[in-house]
Amino acid sequence: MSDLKSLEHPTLKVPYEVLNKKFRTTQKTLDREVSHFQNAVQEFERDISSDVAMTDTSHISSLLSGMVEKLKVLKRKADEGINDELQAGLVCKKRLEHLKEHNSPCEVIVKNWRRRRLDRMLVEYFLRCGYYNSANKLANNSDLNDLTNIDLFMISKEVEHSLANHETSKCLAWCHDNRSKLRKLRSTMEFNLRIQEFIELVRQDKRLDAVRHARKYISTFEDTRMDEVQQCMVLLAFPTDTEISPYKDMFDETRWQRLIEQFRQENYNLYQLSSQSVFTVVLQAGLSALKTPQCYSEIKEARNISCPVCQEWFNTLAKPLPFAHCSQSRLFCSISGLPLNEHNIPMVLPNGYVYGEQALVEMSNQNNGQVICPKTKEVYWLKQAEKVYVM
Amino acid sequence: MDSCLAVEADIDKLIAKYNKYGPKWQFQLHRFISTLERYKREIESQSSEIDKCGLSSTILQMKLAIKDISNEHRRWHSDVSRVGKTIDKNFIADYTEASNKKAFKTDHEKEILNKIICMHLYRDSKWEVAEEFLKEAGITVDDKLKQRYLNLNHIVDSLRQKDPMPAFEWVYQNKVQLDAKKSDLEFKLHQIVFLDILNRGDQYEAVVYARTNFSRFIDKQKEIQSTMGMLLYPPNVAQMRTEVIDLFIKDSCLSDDDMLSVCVNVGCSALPALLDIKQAICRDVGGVWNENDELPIKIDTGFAYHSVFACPILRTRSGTSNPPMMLVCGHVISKDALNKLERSGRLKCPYCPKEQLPSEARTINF
Repeated sequence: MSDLKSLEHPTLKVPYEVLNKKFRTTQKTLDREVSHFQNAVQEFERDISSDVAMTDTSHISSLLSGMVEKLKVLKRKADEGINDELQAGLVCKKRLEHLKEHNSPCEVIVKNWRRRRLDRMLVEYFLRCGYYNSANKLANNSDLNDLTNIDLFMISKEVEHSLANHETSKCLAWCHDNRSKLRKLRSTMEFNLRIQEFIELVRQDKRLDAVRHARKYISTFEDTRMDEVQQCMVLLAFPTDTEISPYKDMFDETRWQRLIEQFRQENYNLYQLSSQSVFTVVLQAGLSALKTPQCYSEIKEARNISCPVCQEWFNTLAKPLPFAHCSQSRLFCSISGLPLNEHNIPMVLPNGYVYGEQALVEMSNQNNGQVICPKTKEVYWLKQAEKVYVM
Repeated sequence: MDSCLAVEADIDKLIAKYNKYGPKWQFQLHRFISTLERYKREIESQSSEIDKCGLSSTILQMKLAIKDISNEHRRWHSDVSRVGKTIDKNFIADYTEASNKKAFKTDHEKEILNKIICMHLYRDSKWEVAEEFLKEAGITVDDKLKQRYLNLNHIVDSLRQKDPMPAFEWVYQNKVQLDAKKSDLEFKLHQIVFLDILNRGDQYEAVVYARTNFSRFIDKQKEIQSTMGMLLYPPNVAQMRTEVIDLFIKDSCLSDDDMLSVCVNVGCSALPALLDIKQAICRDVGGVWNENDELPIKIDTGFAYHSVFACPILRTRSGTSNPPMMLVCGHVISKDALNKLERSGRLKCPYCPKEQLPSEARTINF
């Protein structure tokens, strides 16, 4: 399995969903406009068969101009629709082109590609965290607007913003816009929004309006969410500062926050986005693959300044993660960094520390045959070092 | 790669249809409109006998042709949804399966993560993005850390704007360290200046510059040769400039690769393997990462920062409670293995005939 295969699903799936949506819209528009034209034709055919109307040229010409108008609209709409679809298709295509660079034989291109991949991941991470300005800036800076799903998140930004201001209209419009898909996903978004509207009406003590609202919008959910509907109607009987749960929770302002959370999740589901950003998932995997017990050793010297997991910040992050798996020894001389093997035999000093033969010999040459253990600062003769056999 | 090609084939098919039918329909509709308009004009001007049959048959034809447009478009539905299916088949939708859903969730962890990202942005000379990010994420970083990158950024910016002087200054200030690392930076800087002069079309000046500056780099004959060859074959200067900038970034602020990139790149290569094993082992056994203190499989990271000793007998990693032990004969096994091999107070080395007392073995450190 390659990393493209496991990581780039959202890169392609989101523009595909956009394309699919555009396709449906175009189909609807085409059907509508075509049937408008058909109706005009039918009218014409009806009138032309009756001789009476035929003598009236002005009537015919008005029928004809009606048809021309319908055709003109159809022409324009078809052009727009096809163009929209084509653009969405080209976005997919562009991303594919970008992904294909990953397998380039040229090292510089691959390196650059990786760097941009990190930028793409960061943009996505920013968007998920709600750092929209940073995401925009980074995308502009690295020319990633076509390669990240920034548009999608910008739409959700507006909805989230309106929910934070205790407005439901934008989110309801979003529900309406994606109705069929949400129904397939068994979304409770619209239901929860309606309940929230109801709660707000009760809060303002417009209890009659609340009942009217419930009759209009909430009653339609009776077959699936009867319990919640009942629970909700009970609110009518309680004061807004009730201490009795669950009614107290329903009056809580944080319910809006939960709606925002729910909206985010459902929006991810709609486009099959995972609940976590690629960036955090990949970072976890990376930290784990690099994590060794030495990174947490109490002896400072055991740590390696180039090892990410030995750095303070990464170290904290990696703490709850598993260590790298290891069933085979991989040994390095901590003086020279060279691997220990038959060309660089591991040698143990009397204090139990093991170094490579090459480094020890070089040190003793500069030190009149003596070596200093870099870890404990003890001084030994080179000949005190013994060979170690590691299988 | 194959997955990309598979999706691309489907997309291409669809795009081809758009390109074929889009203009075709426009043309067809245009023709219909002008035909109808012509009829209309005829009717209005002549007011004589109308070719009733001709008109109705034309309109009938149009009616069918136009019905066909929406039908044709509907037929593409299978092409469109095939793209989606191919994507689903060739790419994995849920990469979170191999991750710990609880990781990086606390505020403290989030803050650290954001700081790491911020430092990465500074290092990557994305100064503006970093500043914006600081503001939005509500974090602060040490000014000293920032300052280090600020200076560096200044040098990088000037390099981008074809001003190598700050970079040269920095090179002279840090000559000792650079020489110890056998860095190519100084030579590469001279090379880019040479190419800039050359690009201005001033070949004489370029050669003079080469004479005064290249002669010191005796050990770089090959590079000098190819540089002088660029007099004949003009290279891609923009790309070489990025390379020099990269080299500068590498040689200056941190001696090694950017830590975040290292982690992420390792993670990218590790994740497929982890997902693979996740699919292989029973799905109900909970997450790969939960509870276990070790990943289930070996990941080849390409980076080796620490020695790892794995006991050749037990095939487990050694640790503080189970350190590597060297036997009298020099063979190394783990302490647990040693305890298991002990028979009535004596121990035979599993690799050679040597018999010894378990107490004779010594703990060693790699």
